[in-house]
Amino acid sequence: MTTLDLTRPAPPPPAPAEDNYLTHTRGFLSWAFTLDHKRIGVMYMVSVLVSFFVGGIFALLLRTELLTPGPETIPGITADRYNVLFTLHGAIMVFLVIIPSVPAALGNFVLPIMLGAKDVAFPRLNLASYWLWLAGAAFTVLSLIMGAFDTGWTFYVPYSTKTTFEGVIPVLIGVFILGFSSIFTGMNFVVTIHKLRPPGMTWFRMPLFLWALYATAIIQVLATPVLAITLLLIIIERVTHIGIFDPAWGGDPVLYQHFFWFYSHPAVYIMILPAMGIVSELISVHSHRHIFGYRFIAFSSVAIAIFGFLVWGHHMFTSGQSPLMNTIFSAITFSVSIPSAIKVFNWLATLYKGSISLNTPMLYGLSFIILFSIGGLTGLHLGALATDIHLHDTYFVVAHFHYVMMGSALIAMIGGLHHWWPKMTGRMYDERWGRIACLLVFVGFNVTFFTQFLLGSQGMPRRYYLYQPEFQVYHVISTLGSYVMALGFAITAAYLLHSLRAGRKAPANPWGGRSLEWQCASPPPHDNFATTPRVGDCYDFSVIQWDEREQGYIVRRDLDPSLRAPGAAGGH
Amino acid sequence: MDPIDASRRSDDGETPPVPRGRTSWRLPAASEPFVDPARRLAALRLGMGVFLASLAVLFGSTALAFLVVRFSPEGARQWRGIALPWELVLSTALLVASSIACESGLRAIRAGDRGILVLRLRQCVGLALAFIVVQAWCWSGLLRGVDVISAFRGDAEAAPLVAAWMFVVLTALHAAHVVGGLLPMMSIARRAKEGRYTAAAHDGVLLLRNYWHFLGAIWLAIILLLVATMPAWGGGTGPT
Repeated sequence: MTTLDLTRPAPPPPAPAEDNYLTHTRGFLSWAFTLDHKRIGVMYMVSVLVSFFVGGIFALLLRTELLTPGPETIPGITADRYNVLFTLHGAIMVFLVIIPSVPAALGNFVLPIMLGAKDVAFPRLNLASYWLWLAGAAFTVLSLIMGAFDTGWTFYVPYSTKTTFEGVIPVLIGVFILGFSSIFTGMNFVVTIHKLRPPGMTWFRMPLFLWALYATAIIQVLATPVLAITLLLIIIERVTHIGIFDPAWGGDPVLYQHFFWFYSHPAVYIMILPAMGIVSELISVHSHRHIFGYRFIAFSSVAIAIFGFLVWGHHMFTSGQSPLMNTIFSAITFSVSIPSAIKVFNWLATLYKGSISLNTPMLYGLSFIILFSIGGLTGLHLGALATDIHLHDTYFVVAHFHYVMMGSALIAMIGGLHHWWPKMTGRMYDERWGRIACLLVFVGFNVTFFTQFLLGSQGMPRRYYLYQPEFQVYHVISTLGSYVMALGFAITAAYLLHSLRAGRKAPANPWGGRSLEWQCASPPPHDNFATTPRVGDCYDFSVIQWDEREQGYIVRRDLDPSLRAPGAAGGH
Repeated sequence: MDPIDASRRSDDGETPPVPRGRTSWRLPAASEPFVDPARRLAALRLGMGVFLASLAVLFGSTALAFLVVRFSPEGARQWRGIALPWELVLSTALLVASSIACESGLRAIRAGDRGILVLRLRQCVGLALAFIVVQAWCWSGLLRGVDVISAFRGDAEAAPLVAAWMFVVLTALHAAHVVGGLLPMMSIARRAKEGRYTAAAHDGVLLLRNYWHFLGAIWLAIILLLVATMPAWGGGTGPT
């Protein structure tokens, strides 16, 4: 029973919800049909992480099955199902996770804000890209319903034309559609970077993440169509049995490999270049030090993108390609190490005498440098003609590309996710758990995959369901490592989700960043900036100051001469 | 391309505030990234240029596949039995005529003549539809002699399948882009009829013209490739 107490003051009305991109409109449809790049980025991120979870489960099943050299360590995982599992793991991780993870998810969220723009150049095309991604993912799921596929993620002919698994065509259609999503995202980013840079942001004042996204977008636009037509030709060949690629029908399987790798090698750079862009941000912001060798890092992104188009033949050293071609491709492959090394040396030079904060994003950034160095250097063994003959199609290759694609690209994405998490959600996560999880992921990753270098160099072929007993100890160690890594990711998911409800409110600039995204609120308002901001040097941390009241960093605009003098920043 | 409606922009060039609250099934208003219409048009043109570069790679790689298959031993054997369909002459004329109509429409709206623009766009739609019909006629003639049932059973000796199918793949890929262009073309024709283009603002017509001329150029390149690699002009009635 309650009584009315007229002497007590009336309770204050509830404060109106803060207006930001998360609260600006409500309801499912406001997300499904949003044109806000931030919401589209968040939807990509959720979709990519769900795909990562599914692909990760397949990986754990594979590793568990390999605990013993015999069949069916896990009852029901027959040789055929094992083939399906590694194919699904590869296809999901490459096409649904790593390729879109940085450009489409983090890039979509961050790029326009870093430019001080209200959105990407073509918001509707951006939404269409996301729905195309969903359609591609739906076809991949449909392929499972229709009987899955066991071709490996590379869809090599004649596996893909002859296999009795009926899920091949749906997944090829799915990847074909995902390609369009990727092309449209690339187009949007190229135009956005060209046409929406704010006053003062010349090409060489752009954050390095944007340089990386720009180089990536060029590859997305120019390489992906080749994959599209290749997959279309496989579908036609599988349906009509005409001889395009399949030698049994008069086709040329090496033509397939040329086409596939003309896309898929640049695709490696679609994965790694934006990751390198993230690392440039992480290293400079968390060292509170101006990035060393800005122009070298920027140009090396473009150089890697260009070289990326010229090295596809190194995947085909054992295909019967002519020795001259092999030699040329080998030489160009070695050349890629130059711009890659330039980046690593510049990151190390940035760290030198920096005021390093070992926050979780920084730990992931440092992990990237170590893992990418191992991945890159072991790539030299595969780029050299003599050693590649021995190592081709062994676990050495598996270890190498996991160091590059997961240890580098995905680890950088996780680092970027932590870096921009306060901006995306407006909440801080628990730093202590973040560091513990990063350590577990780092240790687990190396135990899993470094062991596979040893396996491969001793002759263990990749994709084998049964193996010689002498390899078992390595497989057991590798599998245990994968469990540790999975624990690290599970902890990460737990504390990030927990932070959404219980995390401390994030200030606008929790890390001391200098680029424009740290100068709008966390989470950003719907329109990002009320007016187009002026831009200074986005790596000049001398104007950054800790503010007790904000519990975050602020930019002392009065200390920055390029922001004080009207018109001094110049146009573009 | 992104059909941002210039009419949504207020007179002073500022983007109107986006209303808060629950959205309907319709797309909500975007935060207009461009305040200056000239920069917006430049962005649209660049976007179209990048898109066309991507399409050029698509057609280039398809042509490369065509050439490799054509000059493989199996391809060389099969290509001997197939001739270039004469219907291609008709479809080429139709596509060239549609490009001329499109260009004429753009020039008309630049001169402020909306009536001619609408007429030319309608002609362009009609010619493009006729192009598709002639192409379908061409493909059916080419595949008429093909024993499709045997082909599905994997009997490669049934007919010169590779030659016929590779021809169809190359030209159908182009036709798919013609169909893809028809949809915005019809939308632009409707908007032109509603009087939404002026001599000063006709971004959609300009972009359509660029796309359509690109398809025309690609078609001429395909014809050159076919003439150079097919043995002779024929009746288009399948294997001879």
